[in-house]
Amino acid sequence: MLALWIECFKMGLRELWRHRLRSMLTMIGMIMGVSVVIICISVVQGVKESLIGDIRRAGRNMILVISEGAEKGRSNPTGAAATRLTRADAEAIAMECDSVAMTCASHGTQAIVASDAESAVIELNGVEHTYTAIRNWGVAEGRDFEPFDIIASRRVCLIGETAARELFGDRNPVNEMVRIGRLSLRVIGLLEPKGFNPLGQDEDKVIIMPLPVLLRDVMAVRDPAVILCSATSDESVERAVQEIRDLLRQRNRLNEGDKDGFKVTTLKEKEEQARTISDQMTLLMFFLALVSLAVGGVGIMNIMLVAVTERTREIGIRMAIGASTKAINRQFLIEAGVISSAGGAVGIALGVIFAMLIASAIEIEAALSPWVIVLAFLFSAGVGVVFGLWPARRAAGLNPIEALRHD
Amino acid sequence: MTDTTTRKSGSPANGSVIDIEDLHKIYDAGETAVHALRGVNLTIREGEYIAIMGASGSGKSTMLNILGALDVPSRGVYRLAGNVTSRLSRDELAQLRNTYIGFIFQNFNLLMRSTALENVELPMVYAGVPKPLRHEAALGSLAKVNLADRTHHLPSQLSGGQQQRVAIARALVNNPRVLLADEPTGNLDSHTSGEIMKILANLHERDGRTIIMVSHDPGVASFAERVIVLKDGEIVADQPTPRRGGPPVPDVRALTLAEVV
Repeated sequence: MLALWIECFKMGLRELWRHRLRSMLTMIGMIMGVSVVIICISVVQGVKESLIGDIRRAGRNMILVISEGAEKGRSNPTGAAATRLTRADAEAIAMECDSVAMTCASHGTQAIVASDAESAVIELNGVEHTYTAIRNWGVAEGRDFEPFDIIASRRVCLIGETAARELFGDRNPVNEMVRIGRLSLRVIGLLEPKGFNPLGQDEDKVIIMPLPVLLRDVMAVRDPAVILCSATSDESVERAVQEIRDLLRQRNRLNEGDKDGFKVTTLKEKEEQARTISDQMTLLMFFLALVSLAVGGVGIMNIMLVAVTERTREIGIRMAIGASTKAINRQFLIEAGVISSAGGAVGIALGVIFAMLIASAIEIEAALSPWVIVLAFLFSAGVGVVFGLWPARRAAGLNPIEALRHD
Repeated sequence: MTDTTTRKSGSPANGSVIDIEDLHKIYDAGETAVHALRGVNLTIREGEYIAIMGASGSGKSTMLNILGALDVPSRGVYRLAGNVTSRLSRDELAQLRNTYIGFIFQNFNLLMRSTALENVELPMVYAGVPKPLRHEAALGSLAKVNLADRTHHLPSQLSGGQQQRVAIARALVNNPRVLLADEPTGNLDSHTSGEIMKILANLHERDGRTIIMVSHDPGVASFAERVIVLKDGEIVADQPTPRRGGPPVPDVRALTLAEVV
């Protein structure tokens, strides 16, 4: 029995080789379908991994408390339902919430920043000394903020790598001066590169300064917009969120039924979102790929029907000599399977190459999982068999007498 | 397939390999039914060399298809080595052909893209013979038709006579009970025809093969021992050839004009 299978397989390969051009053209559908599957799945999964990696690096146990007034826009800081967040709130959270390790009140804006030679629009962040610890962000050169920098509103700043390059070129920015309008700040430290955040913004194009300096001298507002909190551990994030919410409601004397006026979000949620979105993308791509595989399958069906017609006489001879319907059926099924799995194999090779190229172009690592490759191969072979069923049945159903008479 | 239908040695006690009783074949061609065979009775014994003759439209082709188990009768019984073909399924008929019949066709019917050796191996592939045995048997069969030196040639690289010899080797390789030759020399020149007829005669005389040959050529038919003439779906003559002391083989090409015997 096995001999018959091997025989069929060899015959399939031989037919494939005999009609090289035709087989190639037929396989294009399969090649495209399979390579698209491989490319999409590995790139999307790669993006997901890198997003999740970014979020993890940003600090998974980070919690953001955002004033809804601030979120609605700075032009209307006295929005009706808005709850003011204050530096005192930040301190209170740090003191009273057991599941919170650190807090950092913060605000941000954009402004034109000038060095002695260059100027650029740069993101400004006003923070407290806990900021780099919460963000898990190291200082490459110079020093980090000390509590006294914040308390004394010293005119110092940390600079991100991109901002430093734009303002100072290749020079070491530490101890250089930057100007924001009439305000001059001395650069005390260069931050380690952090790359792009999940929204595609360059996190290194930033200048970080003491919160009071930003609020008073740049933005002319009183309160921070955000309080960054860090939970004591991954597991305590949800408990911390509850504690923060309870504390803030209490401090703002909100009654039951009143809206919070602030929002507490976690990066854990963002991680879930990233995961969900990319998994949905993968699923969508998968269905698109199914369509192109089906198109490839129809191509195979078409060419197999042609092959059956072309080889009617051969089928007749085989039947006369003693081939059962099963043997004829199997021969054409295997041939269809050989074409489609050859297409699948080429598609996998191309898919892997392109996935790696694309991934390196967008600076992620392609997630090439072996089971996706195995699955894609099995699937392509399956497509050939499924779409070969009808032509094979047609071949097997031929009347041997008529088939023998066919020219 | 049940045991009774495939016994290779299974034949009735009278030594006949083929038994036909009141065989009818009716083709349903729309409104009108074509009565291709009308009550044929025929017994062929093991080791006979028989020629079936008839003009076109005599039912000769239908007879050949039924004898070759490519088709089944509409009425009556065809028993091939004890197996009643009308009781068998498509796949059982295929197995029956594979086991009991070796076909030799007018146009050779070789697989054009397979070598001589592969063509000869093919019946054994469908019989499930393992590769090494297949190889050996195919080489032996090719040697028997003097083609041992052409095993790896494609049919297109062989002459017509050589192709027909490959076909004979293929027909012999499963050691069938009956060789069924349909106009075996129809596509060959007279010299090559003679070679093929000599091979068939040798197979009959030396190996005791049962050969049924369909032809409309009295010269070719006279190689057989017994000749059967079909006309309008009926047997009109069943007689020994001159080699066995019978009357001259009738010329069926003239049958449409005059009656035989």
